Amino acid sequence: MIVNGTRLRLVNRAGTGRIGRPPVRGPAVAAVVGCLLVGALIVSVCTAVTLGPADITVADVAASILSRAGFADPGLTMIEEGIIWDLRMPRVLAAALVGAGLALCGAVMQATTRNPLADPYLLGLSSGASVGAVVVLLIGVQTLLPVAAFIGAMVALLATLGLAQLAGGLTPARTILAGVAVSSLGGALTSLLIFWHAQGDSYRDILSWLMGSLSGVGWSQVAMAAVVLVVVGAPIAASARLLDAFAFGDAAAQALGVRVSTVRWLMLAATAVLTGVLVSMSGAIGFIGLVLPHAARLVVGTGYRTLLPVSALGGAVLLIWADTAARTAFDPRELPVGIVTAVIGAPIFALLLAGRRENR
Amino acid sequence: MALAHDELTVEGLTVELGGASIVRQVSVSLPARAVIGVIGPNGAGKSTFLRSIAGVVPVTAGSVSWEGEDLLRMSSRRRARLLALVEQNAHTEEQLTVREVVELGRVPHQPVFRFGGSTPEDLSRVTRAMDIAECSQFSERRYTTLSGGQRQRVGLARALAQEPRLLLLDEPTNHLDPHAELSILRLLRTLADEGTTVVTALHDLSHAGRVCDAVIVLRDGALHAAGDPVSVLTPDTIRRVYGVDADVLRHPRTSAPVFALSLPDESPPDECPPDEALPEASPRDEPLLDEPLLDESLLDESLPAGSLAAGVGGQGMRSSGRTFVPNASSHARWSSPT
Repeated sequence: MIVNGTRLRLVNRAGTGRIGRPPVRGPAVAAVVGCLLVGALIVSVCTAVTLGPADITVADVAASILSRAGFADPGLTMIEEGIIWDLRMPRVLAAALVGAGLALCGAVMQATTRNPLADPYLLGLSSGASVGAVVVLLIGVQTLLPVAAFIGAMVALLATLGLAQLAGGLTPARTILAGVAVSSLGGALTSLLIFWHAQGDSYRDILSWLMGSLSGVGWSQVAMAAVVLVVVGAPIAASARLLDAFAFGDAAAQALGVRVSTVRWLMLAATAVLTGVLVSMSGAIGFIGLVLPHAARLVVGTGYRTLLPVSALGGAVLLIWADTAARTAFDPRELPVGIVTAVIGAPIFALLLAGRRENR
Repeated sequence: MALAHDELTVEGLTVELGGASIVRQVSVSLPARAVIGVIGPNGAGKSTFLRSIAGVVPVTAGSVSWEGEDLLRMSSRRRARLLALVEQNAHTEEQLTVREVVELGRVPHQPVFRFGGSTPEDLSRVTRAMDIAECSQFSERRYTTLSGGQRQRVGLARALAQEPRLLLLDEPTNHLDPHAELSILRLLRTLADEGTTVVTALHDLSHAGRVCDAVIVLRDGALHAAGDPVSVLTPDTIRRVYGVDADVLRHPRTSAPVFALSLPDESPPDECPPDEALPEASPRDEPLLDEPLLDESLLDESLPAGSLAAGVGGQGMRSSGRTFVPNASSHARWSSPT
C-alpha cells in the first residue's frame, strides 16, 4: 500500500499473538492428578519397603500392616518384622516427608521471591541448617537439633537475600549467586566442624550432611517431621491464594490487599522452619524443591491451591525412589541420596537457566 | 478545589521517592460516579498520584479519604475491596491463563485461609467481569501470549472482578489501536454511568475531552488546574502545561472538544495549504522511500520542554506546515518551509 509516496507495511493483526497451547488444568484434572499421586505414594511406600538385601514381598508388607492394625496374623519372623518396621519403614516415610516438605518449600520460595530458580538448597537454607545441626550435635544437646537447624536456615536465608540486595536487588540471577556463596560457606563450615571434632573416618559424616542421607532415621524423627510438615504446611496450603497474588509483582499483590512484606517474611520463615527440621534429619538434599514445582506446573498449571499439594505429593514419591536407588543400587555400599537427586535435578536446572536466557 | 458531589477527597497529598518530590501538596475533591481524567506531561506525577491513592506507594504527607473514611489507614484488604488499580505494563512470568489472571481480582474477597477452589459467586463475578471487558473470547489463552490491547482488557477485567467502587487506571489506552482506544473509553463511561467512580490518567487531551466529566491537571507533581474539561483545557492552560499551542475544535459527531496541537514555532496553516504542499507520489519515488513517514525521533519523550509532548505528537502534523519532500539525496525527510 502506498500513501503519500511512502510504502506502508500491512500489519497482520490476527498474527500478533501466538495462540498458547490450551493448558491442561481445571479442578477435574487436579483431582485426577491428586488421586493418582496419592495412589502412587501408597504403592511407592509398600514397594520401597520390599526392596533391599532381605527378601520381603509386597504381600508380606501388606500382611504385616494388617496384623499391626489387628486384622490378621502376621506370619513373619521377628527379623522380617524388625527389618520392615525398624529399618525400612521409618526410612521410606522419612524420604516421603522430606521430599514433600522440600518440594513445598521450593514452590513457596519461587512464588514469594518471584524467582523460578529458588529452592532451599540453591539459596543456601539447607547448608545453613546443616551447620546449625552439626554445631548442636557436636556440643551434644540433641534436643535442640531442630531449633538449631532452623536458626541456621534462617541465618542463611537472611544472608542470601541480604547479599543479593547489597549487590543491587533481588533478581533471580543475583539471588542464586548469593545463594551459591552462602551455601559454599555453609558447606565449608560443616566440613570444618566435623573434621575438627570427629575421630577416625569423618568423611562419611561430612558427606551425609552435605549431600544428604536418610540412613539411621528413627521413628521419633519421622514423627517430628510429620508434625512439623502438617503444622507448617497446612496453613501455607490454605493461604495459597496469597501466593497466586504475587504473580504480577509486589505492587500488584499490594493492590489486591495482600500485606506483601508481612506475607513474604512469614512464608519464608515457615520454609526455614520446615527446611531446618527436614535437614536435621536428612542433611542437605538438593533439587527436589526446584524440580518438583516446575514439573507440577506443567501438569496442573500455576494456581498454588493445586500446585502446592501436587508438588508435595510428587516430591514424596520422587524422594522415596531416589533414596531407594541410593541404598540399593550399589549394595552393600550406600550412595548419599543427594547424588541421585542431583543427577535428576541438575540437567533440569540447566534447562531452566537456558530457558530464562531465551526469554530475555 | 472542590467539585460537585465530593466523594474522593485528597488533602495535601505529598509523595517523595528517593529524596525527590513526585507529588507535591495536591488537594482536590473529586465527584463520585464520574470519569475523572488525570492530565499532565510525562513525569508530572500522574502514575504516582494514582498509585499513592491505591496504597501501593507510601505517602509522605497528606490524606486521602473516600466518603469521609481514611483510605490510607484502612487495612489493605478492605481497601482492595473498595478500589482497584489497573497499572500500565502489568508483567508476569507465570504461565497464567486469562481466566486465572481475572480470578486474582477475587483475592480480596476470599478468606485468607481456605482450602478448596473459588465459590460459584467468585466464578460468576469473574465471568461477568470478562464479559464487560470483552475478553471472554480468549479466556483460556495464556496471558503471556496476548497483545498489548488484550492485556489492557484483561487488566481491566481483573480490576472489575474486585467489584470496586473506585477504579484507578494508569493510561488505559496506551499502545491501543483507535478502535480499542475508543471502546475502552466508552466502557469507562458506561462504568461511571452505572455508579463506579473512575479516575484515569490520560495522555490524549481529545480522549479526556471526549469521556471525562472532570479533569485534574498535574504539573511537576503539583495541581495546576481542576474542573470540567472545557473550562480547564483552555489553550492557555495547555500552552503552560505542555508548551504546545492548541486549537480547540468540536467533534462533528459527538460535539466533544477536540484538540489540534502544534509547536509554538509552527506557521499557521494558511501559509502552506497542506494538500498542495504534498507532492504527488510518482512511481520513481517509491523504491527510494525506505524511511518511515513519521520519524520516531521527533516523538522522543526525552526532548526538552517546548518540543512535541508525547501522545500528542501525531496530531496536527499534516496541517502544521511541515511538508514532505524528497530531497536531493532521494531520501524522504521532513523539512520545514522557512
